[in-house]
Amino acid sequence: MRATIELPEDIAAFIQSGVSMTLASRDDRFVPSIAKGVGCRVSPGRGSVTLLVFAGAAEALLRDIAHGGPLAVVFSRPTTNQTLQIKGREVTSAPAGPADVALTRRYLALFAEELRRLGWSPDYVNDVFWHDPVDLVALQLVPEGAFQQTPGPGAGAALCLEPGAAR
Amino acid sequence: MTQVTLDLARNCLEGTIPAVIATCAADGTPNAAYVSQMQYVDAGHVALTFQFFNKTRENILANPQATALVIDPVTSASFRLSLLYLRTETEGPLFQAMKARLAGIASHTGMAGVFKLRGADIYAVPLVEQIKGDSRPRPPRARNLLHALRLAGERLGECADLGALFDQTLSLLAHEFRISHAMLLVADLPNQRLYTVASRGYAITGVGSEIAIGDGVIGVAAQYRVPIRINHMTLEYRYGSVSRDGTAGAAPLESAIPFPGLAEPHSQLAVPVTVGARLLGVLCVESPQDHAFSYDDEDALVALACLVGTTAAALQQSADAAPSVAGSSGASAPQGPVVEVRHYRGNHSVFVGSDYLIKGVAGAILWRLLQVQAESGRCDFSNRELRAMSDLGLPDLSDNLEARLVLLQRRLAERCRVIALEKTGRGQMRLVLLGRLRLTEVDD
Repeated sequence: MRATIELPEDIAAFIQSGVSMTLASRDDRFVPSIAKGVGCRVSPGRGSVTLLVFAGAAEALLRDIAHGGPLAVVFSRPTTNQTLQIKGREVTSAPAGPADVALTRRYLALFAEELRRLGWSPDYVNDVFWHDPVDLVALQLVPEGAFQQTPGPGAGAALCLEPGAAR
Repeated sequence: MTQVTLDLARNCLEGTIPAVIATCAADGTPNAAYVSQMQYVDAGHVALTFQFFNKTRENILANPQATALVIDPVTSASFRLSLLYLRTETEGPLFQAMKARLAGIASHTGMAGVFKLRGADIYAVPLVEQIKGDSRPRPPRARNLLHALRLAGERLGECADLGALFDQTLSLLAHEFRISHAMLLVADLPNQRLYTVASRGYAITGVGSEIAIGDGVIGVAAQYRVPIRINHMTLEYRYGSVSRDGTAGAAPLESAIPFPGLAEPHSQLAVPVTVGARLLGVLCVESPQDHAFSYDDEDALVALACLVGTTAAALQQSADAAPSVAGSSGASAPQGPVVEVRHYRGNHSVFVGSDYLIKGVAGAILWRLLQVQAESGRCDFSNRELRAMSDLGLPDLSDNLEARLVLLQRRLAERCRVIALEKTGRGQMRLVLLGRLRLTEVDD
């Protein structure tokens, strides 16, 4: 069991606030896979993060995770460009329950509210991100590092990092 | 999952919704990142902006495999693009086109001064898949670009001279392409300038106003022979107030002609007009709206510019080939007060009374016509004899003499009540004097 980090409170709040979310993994030949995330919750001790994705829109990524692939998740707030990334190697996958379906609805509603300020209709956000709820999958990630990724020369700096973790 | 062509996903690359890219480091650690701009290059390639030495950059140099996700801002369809990094271009047409677009994106997203293009990363796109999900039908277009191009082909072919061609082009843009603000500039390559010969949709025509090759979207399109399209207002590619108000920055004796462009264009598309490898000029359209011009509009205008270039070259050739006419003498001598016409030998600028009219080659041509008329009473001239006048500074046969005559004719029509230049046939013109002139040569 590797040592884990506790996510700082502000990071935990940010990633749960209804922001844009993109997940990346890779296969055994290091070919990257990519999918959009639609919801996020942080465990009470802030030692793990659960990311919600729709399986039909994340086939390759879920296959890579099932084969033990690591996970990177980038979170970005469109109105401010504030962006950060969390990475880890320990990922478990499970079908999402009703509570997570409800959480995803709330998360996308918050995100739609954010995008409404940029002129996008809530219907559009729904069309892009919402799929059949039986398809929803919960990926639990144990973060090993979080990195600043707001566009600019400071991007890439570690916000918190487990000693020896990959970045 | 449905495999589609990159062409179908092109609307996703307008930058409305940022693309995301996944890469993988040499040690197997994945990385996800938002992309400022993904540019469609051709059916098998895209280019990404390289701005910072970041993780994505580090990863693709170690492992060229990448996967991107793009979203259509209208239909909401999502696509996954398999990418393979090939090379980075740090100059040239594609680099310049991306640099201009990035400037628009940067100022729109509050990143002006942060985003700086270091290179255009070129990727092969071996596979495009549409991600499962409902998407909306694409609403019908307000205009049918293919039909507009068909009409353009028919109508441009009917134009008898270059002036008619310029006007017909702008008329087609307004009525068939539904583009309200447009201008056409012709290149003066020896002086590295472009001068406006026609415009539509502006408070002033700006005929005769000049832009340096390399300056703004129009100048960059001319310099690199590449369409430049910007979807947001950006200071970086704006034409300064200097050229628009026509006052500051000009030499003491030469009042610059105000440039016709919109004060705050939110969308701009400048397309080079070429004949083979030779640059003829630039067609530029503008809109006060963001995202007014799409990849499809760019395709249509490039095709239109091809038609304009080919037709212009043919018209110019036939005008130059037309025979000289026997010089006829003018009609009855004009009446009225004497108006002084001054010619400054240095830059060939011509003033009528106290008003600046024109300079350069067009100024030299006018001065010569006035002199011949004053000495011999002749008023009919041909392109062929102008070509033979070696002192006019016409660089060579490839010079756009016919375009300079259109410019001169239009400036006279707009700014001068005592002199007119009329087309009397292919490659033929008549100088018409409507007042008594005193010609004064000034050495400066």
